[in-house]
Amino acid sequence: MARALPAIVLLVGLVASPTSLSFAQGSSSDFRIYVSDEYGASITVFDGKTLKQIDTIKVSDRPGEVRPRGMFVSPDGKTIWAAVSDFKPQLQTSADALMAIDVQTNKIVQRISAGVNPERLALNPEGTRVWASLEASAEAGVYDVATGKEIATFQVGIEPEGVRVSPDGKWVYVTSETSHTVAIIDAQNLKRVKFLLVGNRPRIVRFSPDGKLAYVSAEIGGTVSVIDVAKQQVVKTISLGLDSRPVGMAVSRDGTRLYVAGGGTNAVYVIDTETDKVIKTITAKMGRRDWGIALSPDGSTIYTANGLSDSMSVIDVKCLCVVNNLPAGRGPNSVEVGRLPEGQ
Amino acid sequence: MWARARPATVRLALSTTLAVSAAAAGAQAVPFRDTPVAITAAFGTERTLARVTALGSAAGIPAADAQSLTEVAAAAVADDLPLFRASLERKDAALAGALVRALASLQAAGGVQAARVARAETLTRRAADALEAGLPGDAARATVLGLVLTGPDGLSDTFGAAVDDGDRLGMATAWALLQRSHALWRQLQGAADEAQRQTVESALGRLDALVPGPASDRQPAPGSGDESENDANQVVATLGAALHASLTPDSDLAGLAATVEGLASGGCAAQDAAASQQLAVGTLLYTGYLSPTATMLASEDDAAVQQAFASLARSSGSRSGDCAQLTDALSRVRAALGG
Repeated sequence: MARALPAIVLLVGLVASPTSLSFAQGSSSDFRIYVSDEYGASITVFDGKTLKQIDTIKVSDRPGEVRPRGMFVSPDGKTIWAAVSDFKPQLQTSADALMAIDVQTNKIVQRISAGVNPERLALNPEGTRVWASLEASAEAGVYDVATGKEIATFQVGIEPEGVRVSPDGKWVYVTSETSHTVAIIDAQNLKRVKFLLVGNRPRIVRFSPDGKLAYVSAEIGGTVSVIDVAKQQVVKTISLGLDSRPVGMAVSRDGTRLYVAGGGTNAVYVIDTETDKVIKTITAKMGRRDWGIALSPDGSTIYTANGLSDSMSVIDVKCLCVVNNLPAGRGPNSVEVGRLPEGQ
Repeated sequence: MWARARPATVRLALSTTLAVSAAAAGAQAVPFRDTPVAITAAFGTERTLARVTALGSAAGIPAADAQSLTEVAAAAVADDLPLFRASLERKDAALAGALVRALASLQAAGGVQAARVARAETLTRRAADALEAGLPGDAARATVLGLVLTGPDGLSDTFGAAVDDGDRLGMATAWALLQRSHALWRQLQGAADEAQRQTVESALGRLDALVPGPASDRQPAPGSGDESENDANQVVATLGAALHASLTPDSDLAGLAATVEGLASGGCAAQDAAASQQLAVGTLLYTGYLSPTATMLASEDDAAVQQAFASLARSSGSRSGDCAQLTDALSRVRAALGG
């Protein structure tokens, strides 16, 4: 029912989620695109309107030793958070951190020391807590944004990666690559409540705008698991094919489409969430090994971070075709979109 | 021995028929479900060959200390040989005996002494050829290649650890596994179409660029381990599509749990070389593929399985208690995994 009425769903989603509310109102001309460069120890910044590279933010003076990977945009769109670590997964070092970047100035404005090897992160809808997957210690950590203090850690499975807070702020989902699981954490009571078995090597988790469903990509399994959030059950598994390698995902604002980065297949899979079928596989002119994927604020454009071709592909949602490829540092991993304050 | 060989033969013939039927019907083949012992035995010889080849190149590796060499030789005897010894004895008892003695001799020599290394390498290569010749078709051979690339102590596993630790001997082992990957791919490339061939060749080419040869002084860049994993997975995914087969053991965890249960039952039903091999294969599959999930979904049962497998590997006396514990706990793990 809800999925048959996307306009209503969107409205409900907007009310429920401050993230969606502030961000959905943005026009296409007042945003910036951020690409984390794993091997350049930097974040490349593009102007959303002109697609010109306008900045390169250094997260460390040690490229090749320190790497930014997962990113997350704050609920108001004005801050980009990045998970930063080094290449020594066994040890917690000073490089292991969660960094906040002000979109207006492109300066690093906050740095939270995180556990061992943080890989990806997400904020709660209020923007007061940041959750991170800590790859080497098989944990998820939650930190207070105001104080930078660790609030709690949870065992979530071996090699945790994807992390997301549900739009209503109640649940945190964390994928674990080697355990093939999603850990569900009660965000308010700070208690792990369940593990769900999903596809082989789960990577990224995304919620539908109404928060009723969660999608989990499985790189080796070539699938996307669909989780009913209320039931805490996998209710469907969408197969993308034996040679597909789904990783990053983005959900359209109305929830009717799921865009899936194909990683090693150099493709973007477009899934109709009404039918859970792949309606298009975009391969022509795609950069190589697209990992991260994000949508422009108005939903008209898709951006992918392409790790092997050191580029960002730009895809027009109308034609579902690649319209541009831009150099984007060394080893692009994730891409996020941040919003400038009004009038900037 | 023969009483066990007959059902295996029947099972082999049946599985071949099933594979052909599955292909004809457009269904996905699952070689690991059909012939887990034969596939894992072949993988065991490949791991041994890589370790021995790396030992052969150790003279050119300045950082290869005596302890590292001894550990590599010991791993070939303790970890690899149990995976294929009984299969090789059935295939060529003389070769099996010679190889067991050669590996023991190499271990006694601390992994050094060129003549012993060379003999072990020659015999292991023959063992690999013998066991791989008996694999039931391309999908099974591709599954072996998948294990060589992505399995426990396979290429990406070994190379990733070697990069993290700066372990040159580990890199030499990874390089040897890569050379074998090329050899196995050459036997399989006829099954792929042109685009798939290009994809696999590109991925193997990137692996060639990532993994330094034993004579190279080049230090892999940080992150090379992750890169190798990506490329190894690319090869496996592409081959899987080419052969319409699932090449990774953990593509169906509940199914794999059932397979391990079968191996445990077989291993507990007798006390001979074949039974030991079944337990060794079951241990590898459980530890490498099921335990990471079972430890989250059924942690007590996971611990019980691991403890029972470890105890059975050491035991030479009565095994009834361990076997009962193993089968009970495995049954619960399978249920937890949806089986």
